[in-house]
Amino acid sequence: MSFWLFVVKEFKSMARDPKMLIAMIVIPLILMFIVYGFIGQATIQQIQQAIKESGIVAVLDIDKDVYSSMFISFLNNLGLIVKIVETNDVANISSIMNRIDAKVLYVIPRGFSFNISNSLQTSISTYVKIESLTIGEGSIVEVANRYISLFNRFLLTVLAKEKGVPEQFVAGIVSSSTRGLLASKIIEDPQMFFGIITMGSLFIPLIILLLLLFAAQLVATGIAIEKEEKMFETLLSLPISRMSVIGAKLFVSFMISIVYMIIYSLALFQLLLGRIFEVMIPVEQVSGYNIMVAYAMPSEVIPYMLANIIGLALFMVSIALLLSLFAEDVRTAQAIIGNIIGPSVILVYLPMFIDVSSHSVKTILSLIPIANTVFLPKLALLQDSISLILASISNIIYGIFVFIIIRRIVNSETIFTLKLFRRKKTPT
Amino acid sequence: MGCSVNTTVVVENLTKVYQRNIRAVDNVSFCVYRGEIFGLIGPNGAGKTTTLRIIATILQPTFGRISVNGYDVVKDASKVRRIISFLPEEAGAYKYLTGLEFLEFVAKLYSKDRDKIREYVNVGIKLSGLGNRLNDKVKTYSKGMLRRLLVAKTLMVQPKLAILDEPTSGLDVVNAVHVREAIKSFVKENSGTVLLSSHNMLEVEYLCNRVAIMHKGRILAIGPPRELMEEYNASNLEEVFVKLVSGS
Repeated sequence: MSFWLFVVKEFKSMARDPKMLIAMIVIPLILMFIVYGFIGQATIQQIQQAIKESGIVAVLDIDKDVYSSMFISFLNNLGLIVKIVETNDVANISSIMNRIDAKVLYVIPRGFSFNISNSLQTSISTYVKIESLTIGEGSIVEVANRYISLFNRFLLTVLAKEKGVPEQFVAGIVSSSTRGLLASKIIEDPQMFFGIITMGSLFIPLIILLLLLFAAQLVATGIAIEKEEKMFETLLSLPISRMSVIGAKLFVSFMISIVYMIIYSLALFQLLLGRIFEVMIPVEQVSGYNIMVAYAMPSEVIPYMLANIIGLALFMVSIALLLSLFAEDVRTAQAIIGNIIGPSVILVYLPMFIDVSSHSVKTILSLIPIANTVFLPKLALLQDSISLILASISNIIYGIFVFIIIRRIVNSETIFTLKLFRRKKTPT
Repeated sequence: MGCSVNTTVVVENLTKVYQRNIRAVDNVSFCVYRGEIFGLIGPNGAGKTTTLRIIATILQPTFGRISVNGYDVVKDASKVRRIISFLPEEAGAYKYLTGLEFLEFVAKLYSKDRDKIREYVNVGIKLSGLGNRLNDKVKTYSKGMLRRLLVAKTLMVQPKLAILDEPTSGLDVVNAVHVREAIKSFVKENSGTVLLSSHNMLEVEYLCNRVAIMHKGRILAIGPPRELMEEYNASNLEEVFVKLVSGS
């Protein structure tokens, strides 16, 4: 009963309070532009770096004939550094990839030139070395395929001239089958793979983090308002459960945050993804593919992800709540949250830039809140079940621990005596 | 201690020590009888607010035992909260609610029964004496109006014990008189018990049936104002206080 009474009161007060409106609308909007702008820029730089990296390609020419030579010359003419791989063990791609100093390996099969000469379709196998699991690395797959399609276009004009037929009658002679190579395992569909990585690494955690930051801000502000409006002391003496007051604030904060999450998600796709895809390849080619990856999250990851997110929500909001108990007014609460919770967003980037090949690094990352949310889809792909379990339950354990501390504080006099800086004036 | 059966509050050997060994209340004992207005008086830092906060279950005693209507304020805190209503010295109200919405909000915290809630709110409207201004947001109220609203919300729920910390502090004469009348009418009409604190000794002299004079965490004297004045051969409680302090 008192819970819903406080829920209604919270909504009413928030809607009428300009300070809260600033905290809920103006500041989040500014944050949205800063955060998305920053992430967008960082991702663009990563992609550009990846494009530079894909400037070195290796070619295993099994065909060794006229059109395979033409392909190598074509790559050279594009300004790429082409490293020719000489090996007798053509079946062991994994070993070849480990030896070469290039991210992309093209394998030109026997009969490649023969097929083209006889107007038969042929293909080049493309392998992309996957190591860092970054978004930028994903764009190498795109670039590697793009070289093939450029060669196709070039070949089209050559063949059309040779055979005296219009270009539109000769289409797509060389197709590309692209595979990724991760930890000696062949990834059949690297585009899909990086779609999942991108979804897991960037979009989902970003939206969740924004949601949590809002909830944290709102909870902290809500508690601080009670103190600023000098209702706190009265509330503590009322015939209600103190936790129901806290619960009502949590509930309202989450409801508002969910609305924001939807707005932010839409803005994310408009502001951030639009820019990134413009750098990668033309937008019209990507739109269909993007929808596909949205459904590409492996279903077995979902329970782990849910446990992790629920745990993270519990942990972050509990931390915000705990910190806000120290604040005497809204300004202090905002400052505490801004200075302590805000920088924790940095943890989102940790798994994007850290080499996760070491087992100890994986274990540590899976135990760090926020970082483990971003890291979790990668753990699923790497099939590290122990780290996956650690990542999914650690946040819940931290959250419960902090919540127990809060309960103890709220149900004792500490909630009243707890202050960030003790007043000089002692109670009388 | 020797309190009669007809008591609402029993405080026995209450001591409160804050961090850094600050002894705010030192071995204080007193009773508040049913239907009386009992005043804790003394200068700032005497320990009045700490005593009231402990009785209101916000703080916990370091030593001693306090009961309200037989309920221990530590062990039965939730039961105590159901029968008391507390007005802190620096209390406020939700600025973006109207005065009426605020009274309704508080009334609903004390009862689920619609008729009871309506009754509480009607009493609150009457006690506040704010008339149509109750339809305005609390943020537009003057300090005096806010205090009247808060006194009204404290008394309207007809508690067994109303605890009022400096109810007229900082108010002008008109608002102070209104608050005093509201307190008197609450006791008269509801047979309620009021425990209040004040450093305005003249006000207490007018309002309270009995007072306890506090200084540096201790009670120096206790009794009806008139008896204390006679005992210490003083013309008012301020003189009693000065004589007690100079002799202590």
